[in-house]
Amino acid sequence: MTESLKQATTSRYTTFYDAYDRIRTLDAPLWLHRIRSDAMKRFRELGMPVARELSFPLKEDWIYTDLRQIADTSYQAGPGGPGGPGGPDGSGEPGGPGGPVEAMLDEDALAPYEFGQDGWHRLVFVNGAYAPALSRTADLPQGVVVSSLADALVEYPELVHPHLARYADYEGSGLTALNTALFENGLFVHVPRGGVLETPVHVHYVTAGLDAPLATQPRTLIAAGDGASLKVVESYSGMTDRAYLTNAVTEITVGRDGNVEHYRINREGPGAAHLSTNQLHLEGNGRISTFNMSMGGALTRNDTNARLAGEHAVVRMNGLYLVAGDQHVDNHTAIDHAVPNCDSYEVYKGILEGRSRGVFNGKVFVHQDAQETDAKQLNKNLMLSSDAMIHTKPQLEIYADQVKCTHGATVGQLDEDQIFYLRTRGLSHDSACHLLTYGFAADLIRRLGIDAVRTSLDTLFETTIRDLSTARGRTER
Amino acid sequence: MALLEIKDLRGGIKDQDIINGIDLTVDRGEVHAIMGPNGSGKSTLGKILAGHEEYEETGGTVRFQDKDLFELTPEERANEGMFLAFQYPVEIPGVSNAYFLRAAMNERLKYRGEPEISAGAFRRLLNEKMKQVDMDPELARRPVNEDFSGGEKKRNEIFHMAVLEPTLSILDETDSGLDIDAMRIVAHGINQQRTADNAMIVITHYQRLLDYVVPDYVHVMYQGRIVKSGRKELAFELEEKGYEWIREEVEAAG
Ligand SMILES: Nc1ncnc2c1ncn2[C@@H]1O[C@H](COP(=O)(O)OP(=O)(O)OP(=O)(O)O)[C@@H](O)[C@H]1O
Ligand SMILES: [Mg+2]
Repeated sequence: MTESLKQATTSRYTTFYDAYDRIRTLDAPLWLHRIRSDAMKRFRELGMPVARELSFPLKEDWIYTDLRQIADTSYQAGPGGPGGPGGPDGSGEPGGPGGPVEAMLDEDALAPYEFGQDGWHRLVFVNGAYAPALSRTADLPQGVVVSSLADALVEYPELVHPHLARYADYEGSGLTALNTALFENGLFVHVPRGGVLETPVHVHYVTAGLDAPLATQPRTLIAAGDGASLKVVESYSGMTDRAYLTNAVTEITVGRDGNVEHYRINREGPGAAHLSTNQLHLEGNGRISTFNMSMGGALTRNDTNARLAGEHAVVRMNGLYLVAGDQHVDNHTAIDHAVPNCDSYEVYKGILEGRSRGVFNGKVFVHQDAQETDAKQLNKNLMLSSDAMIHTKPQLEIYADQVKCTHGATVGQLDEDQIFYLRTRGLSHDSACHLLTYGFAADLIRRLGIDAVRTSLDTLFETTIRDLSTARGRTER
Repeated sequence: MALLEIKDLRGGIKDQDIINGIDLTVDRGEVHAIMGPNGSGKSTLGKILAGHEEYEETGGTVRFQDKDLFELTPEERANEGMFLAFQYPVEIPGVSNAYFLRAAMNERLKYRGEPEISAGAFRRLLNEKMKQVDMDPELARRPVNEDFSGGEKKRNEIFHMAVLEPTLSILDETDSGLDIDAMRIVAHGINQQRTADNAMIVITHYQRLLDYVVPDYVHVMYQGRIVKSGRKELAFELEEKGYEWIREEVEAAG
């Protein structure tokens, strides 16, 4: 390591270390203190994954996404962080005098970022702090818990303990370690054995205002017991142009015969760095469908990993990324077929405009025992500009011999013959491009299970690509 | 003024003319059939008229509804009432036929300064036209031409034509790839759209279609030119004798 680099690294993360020093003095279950302490220790060792400071094989995962600038930024903990007014030490009432941020957000400000209907359960976090005035969880079925994670740790520690930090591995990931050590709050959903939570839950992590760069560590924990089912929409919105960091971890576990539908929407602000780890765990015959839509942020990196731990489990992992300007989006996925007879279906599509950069890396591991695995993976990219770039790498590692596995990746542009065909029916060049771009990914949206989510994402998708194609028309002229 | 007036049209791809001087006048109410051997330039003529950017006109003039055609973009030509049914219809994944047709319909109304069509009115129109060309409603819901059979794609072109009600339709081998029943249905659909106000150019290899869609004129294209024109009897003659005698005539003359 060179001298100057050492200098930079030693002054890094001091605000994170300070935040941890505050958090360790707070009242919390002993087991949680242990986990946080282990995680912090690990973060001190690993730091953030900055490609040039890593060695093989870890380096491989970060060569196209450079976190150096983020690692070198001194982020403040939010009001929801330890010591903050809305933090777990409760030193200030969110929405009260100590929580000015929530006061500036009302229903009207949230409306453009809403999903679904009035009847949905909704939890809103603003700059990391829980905003009860904007949240509602009414009429929950018997035994079902939908609450903030901080509240759940007080009221239902016995439900949280078996799952928290059990799936997302902080030993192997500096970002997961950081979140685990410092997470301020987030969503907790628990549906017990055989339970059905029909009404979807929307958790909304908002970043707004900001004088200085803020880091939040949102933590989402979703646990469906045997035969239980639930639906969660997890969205991230940036209502500020300022620079900030979201380092999110989401853990989803589904028991035998359980069923989880999960939607994740990134509409972070233009100055945001959005880093996320999504860890899915499936027991026998369990099902998880997850859809990941990335549109916001200057830099986005999602790591989505599924472990198929019981036979006949099925995971559907779809995603859509829409980027323009200088945006950078990186999706790393890993599906671990540990046992026989499981299926995984994965489709990620990307639309890239301007000088944007995209990365897709999809790993599928089929262990030696995992016979009769059915794994399908596809990554398709539509390049709307010759300055945009995509690195795509589907990777299958198969150690079993009785399997059906396919994978593929395509990178293409709008087709001139298709454009001409549409123009001969009267569509303008721009409308034709817009319609073809829409058609490129419309199938992913059309397949979404919840009507209200499908409709709102369809509209969001359409207006976003309309803006993209208008921007494109401008640059071409 | 004729609906379409082509004078000494030349053009083709980069540094190579495919069309070598075509004269053709089409009046409202007329059906013109264009026949001719493979590679003689029939589709190229259609693409040049519709405004495909890969093809360039290098000489001559074309007036459509008394406007200089080459001043118009492909979509302006369409919205002025021109329609090209493709020899090889293009697949548009992810966009349903109905959604697309409504977009096309509204662009046309906007072009003409008329208000957009309501969802209800459009649905009624679609149903009516589907009946007219005996179209499976399922095909209207599916993405445009995606995974359609060859015959379904051709029928879909006629469906688009029925919905958009063009004044000049250029049908490029809409009959090829159709089974005998489908040919009759498509021909019926075409005939239903024949009025005294519109016109059609029907490119075909088979006299059979012309049994149903009876043309006013038949033209033979060869090496990028119309080398012979006649009435519908010319189609019978071609069916009987092939193109060899045309070739001989052209060579003898030139
Ligand atoms: N884009 C192109 N590039 C190169 N050659 C072309 C192109 N388009 C047409 N041609 C050539 O021009 C000639 C005329 O083609 P065209 O498709 O117009 O024929 P056609 O009369 O429609 O034939 P068919 O009856 O087989 O449909 C052919 O020799 C063809 O290969
Ligand atoms: Mg042809």
